[in-house]
Amino acid sequence: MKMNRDMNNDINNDTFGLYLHIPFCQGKCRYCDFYSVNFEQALLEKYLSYLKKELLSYSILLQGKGRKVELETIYFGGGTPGLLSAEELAQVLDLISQEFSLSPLAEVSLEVNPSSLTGEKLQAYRKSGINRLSIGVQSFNDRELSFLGRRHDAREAREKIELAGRYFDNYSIDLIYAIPDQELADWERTLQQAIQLSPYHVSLYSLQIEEGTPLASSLAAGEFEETDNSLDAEMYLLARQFLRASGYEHYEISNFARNGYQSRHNRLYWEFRPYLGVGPGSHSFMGGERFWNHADLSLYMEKLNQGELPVQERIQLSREEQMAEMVFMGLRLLEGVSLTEFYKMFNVSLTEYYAREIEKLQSQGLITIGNDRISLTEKGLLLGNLVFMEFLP
Amino acid sequence: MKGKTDHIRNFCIIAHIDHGKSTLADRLLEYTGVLSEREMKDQVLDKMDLERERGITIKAQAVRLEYKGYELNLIDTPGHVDFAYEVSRSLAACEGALLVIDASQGVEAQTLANIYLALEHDLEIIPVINKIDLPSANPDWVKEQLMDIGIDVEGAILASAKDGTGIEDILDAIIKYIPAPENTIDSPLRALVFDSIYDAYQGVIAYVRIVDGQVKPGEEIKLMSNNKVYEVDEVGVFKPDMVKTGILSSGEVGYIIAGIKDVKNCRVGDTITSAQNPASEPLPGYKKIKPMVYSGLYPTDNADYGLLNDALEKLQLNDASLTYEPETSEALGFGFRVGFLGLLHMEIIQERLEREYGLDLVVTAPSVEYLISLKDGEILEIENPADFPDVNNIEKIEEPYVKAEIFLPDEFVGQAMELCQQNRGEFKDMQYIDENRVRLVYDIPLSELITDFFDHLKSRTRGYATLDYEFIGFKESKLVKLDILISGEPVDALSIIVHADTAEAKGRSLVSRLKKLIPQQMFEVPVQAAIGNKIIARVNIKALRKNVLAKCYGGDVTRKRKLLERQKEGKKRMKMVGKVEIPQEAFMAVLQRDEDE
Repeated sequence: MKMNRDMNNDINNDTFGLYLHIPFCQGKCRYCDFYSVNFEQALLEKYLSYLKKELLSYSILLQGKGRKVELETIYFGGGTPGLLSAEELAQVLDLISQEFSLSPLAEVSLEVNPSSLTGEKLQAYRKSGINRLSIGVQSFNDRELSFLGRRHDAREAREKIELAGRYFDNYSIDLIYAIPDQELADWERTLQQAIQLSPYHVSLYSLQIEEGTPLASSLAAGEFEETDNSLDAEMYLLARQFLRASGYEHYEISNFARNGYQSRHNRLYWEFRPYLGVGPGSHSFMGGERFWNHADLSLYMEKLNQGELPVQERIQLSREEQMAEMVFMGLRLLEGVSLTEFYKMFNVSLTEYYAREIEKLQSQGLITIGNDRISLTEKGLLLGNLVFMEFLP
Repeated sequence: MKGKTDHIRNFCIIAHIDHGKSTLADRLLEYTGVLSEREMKDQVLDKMDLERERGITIKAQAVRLEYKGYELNLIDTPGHVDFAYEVSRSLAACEGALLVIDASQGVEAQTLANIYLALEHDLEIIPVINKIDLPSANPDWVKEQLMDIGIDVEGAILASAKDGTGIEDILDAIIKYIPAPENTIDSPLRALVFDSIYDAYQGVIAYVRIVDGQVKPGEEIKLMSNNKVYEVDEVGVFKPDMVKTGILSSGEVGYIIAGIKDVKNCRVGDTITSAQNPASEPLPGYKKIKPMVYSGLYPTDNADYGLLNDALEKLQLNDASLTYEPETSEALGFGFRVGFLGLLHMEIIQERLEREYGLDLVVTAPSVEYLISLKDGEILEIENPADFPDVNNIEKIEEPYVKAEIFLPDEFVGQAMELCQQNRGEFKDMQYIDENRVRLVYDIPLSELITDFFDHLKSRTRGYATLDYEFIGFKESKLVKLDILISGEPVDALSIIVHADTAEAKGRSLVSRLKKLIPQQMFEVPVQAAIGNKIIARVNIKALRKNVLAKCYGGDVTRKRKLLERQKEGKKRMKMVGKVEIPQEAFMAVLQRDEDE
């Protein structure tokens, strides 16, 4: 198998994160554009054998030089990784700890839906090595949940979150806002219920109508109107105010955490650090190269059968692109980007290289510089794209 | 015998778009061995990429076919109303025309317009019923249609340019039915220029039909419109590449190269005569064609001004109908006021500038030329609404009118008449040209035609109507200048001239269109329409409050970057006017149709 030469260098110097895509769902949510197919147990089992094959290939490639690479985070995303039984998860995790060196403090996250959770299952997950859950709650309003095409209602969401809290001492909930016809008061009620359940971590996503999703077709058919960005902004600011008042740190544009519970895996993305993605449609970043797998299960398996990596495309980032990505991903963190780290990485001063852009953005009140860091202002949090695009080559 | 012409036939092909004109021309070339099949690039006669893509001919082309000892000159004509004058000159160079009709589509309105034009030039018409290989072909029905409009179908040929059926019959019919040109070799030279192109090495190449006399290298010729004299370097014919012949004589079609430096000195329709032995009268029909439509062209990036200047200069080398003059806009900076024959011509020029010269342009809404008589007796010719003088000094304003001819099925007559009236049209005539087709004639202000008239006409007639127009003169009108203010500042490039009675409605619809086109900025932007000091309409574009990618996309940073790149690209194409970013389309807003219509 071919791979980029730099990958080894990069890996040898660093720890990295692993993303595993589980492309099965019992039905598609109307807003989702991640790759998944209909769940069938037999197909899932077949898929897992291929996923292991892919993991083994990378294990061999990464350890070609006889060194073990330390894995700091593992993230099972989907699709619906909660469709995996605890045994199946344990098998995958066992393979990972055999083939890669897994840090004893590694964060091992699993995305789950409220409807699939049972006490038994939670206990077994915990035993298999999962130590963090990301629960796809999305809303505590039944109308909104059904608009989104979720398979649980608000009551079940509350019950399952409480249940999860009995087995896990680290979990996150996802919430979606700016849903068509959602009023500020609706959002406030959802936020209040979320805070009452006191999760360790909260991710907030403004609903985006992605091309090719059922929601995009309904939008095109005029079945609803997109939420105006001014209401979207009010909802965002309300959430920020509520969550911060309840002891959550707003640490990334869309993420809030109690002290010590930030998502370590997602931080890799924002901190421009390496990660490997396995499974169809998953993305990787190593040695300044971004590459991704075919988002097609049969093609994915066919490539592995032929002894090839199921990679669809590789892009080696130019120096300018690397600089841009480090800045615009890093600015998503409220702490911003460290000027020193940028200098260490590229041997050029961020404030000098982007002097013109920075001056413009400062005068627009979108960014601020201080304590060796460049970061977004509150206005900048709302208008992040206007900031990010300035850094693109 | 000297100057023998009975072996010459000059013809053109008239056809509706898609009825197979270009394919037929290709087959004729192939059959007569002008080009082998291998040499044939698809549709040799349409040379520009743009022409090939759009399936239209912009410049006239000519080619000589040799067949059974005859010399058949095919002149390919442009196919759009903007180039109506060029078409008429090409027809004037021929004695006959192939009328190509799709065997399943039948006679279309546009074909009718062309048939009338051909008949006006006394051309012998040979009907060719094409695409008979299609299962839906119905040649008998087409013949009936032709008889209805008075075309003799005796010699009609059934053909399929696609599979080659009937090609030989067509060639034989050309020889049999189209008259040979008159032999007038002993008369003083008169050559009709039906096109001219500029070549960097040889200067202007005039495409000519020798009507009388003859011409040889070394002789001095004179252009009869401007009396300029040149010495002939070379004459020849198109096969289809240029081949030197040493002489061109009456009846022949070919080219003349005579050290002419500028196509402006050798315009379509002009007559070339001998400097020593000049003809007493030029050939009839010469008109110095003037642009009908004007608009401002500005580089999005002011630094590209020089590039735009060079590009216009180069395009003008080949296009005598294109005019341009530098102009300055407070909003847009330095640019040019460019004159075009019509909207298609304008689109083509804009597209060529962007494509061939890599320019990013802001194009202002098209305008016409106004004649403004001031109270002090001075008369101004205004092509840019921004240059309108103070209302208090104006005695009267005149605007160009055209005679518009609309061909359409009778079921749509009501809607079309209503549209004409809404656009200040004056009814002139209505005729049935066959059982269910109608020719409507209106006098209408050109300014109404160049906005969205044709789009409306198409949609009201489900695409069946065709429109032709010709300039008839200036008429006095009650016109006012409508200004657009953005963030309180007038934007000169958005000013338009409108009729006083419809000014308020136009102002309201224009600001609401601008609201849709101008993206939200970081601050609120009021958009107002005003006549003089009076604000007649206002909308507010709310401030952009949120624009940030929320989702993680599972580590798919490339996708995020691409989304940002797209946003950035969109911003780059906008023009900063004051502190407001305005997209290019906003300057053409007046051309757009209201959604509620």
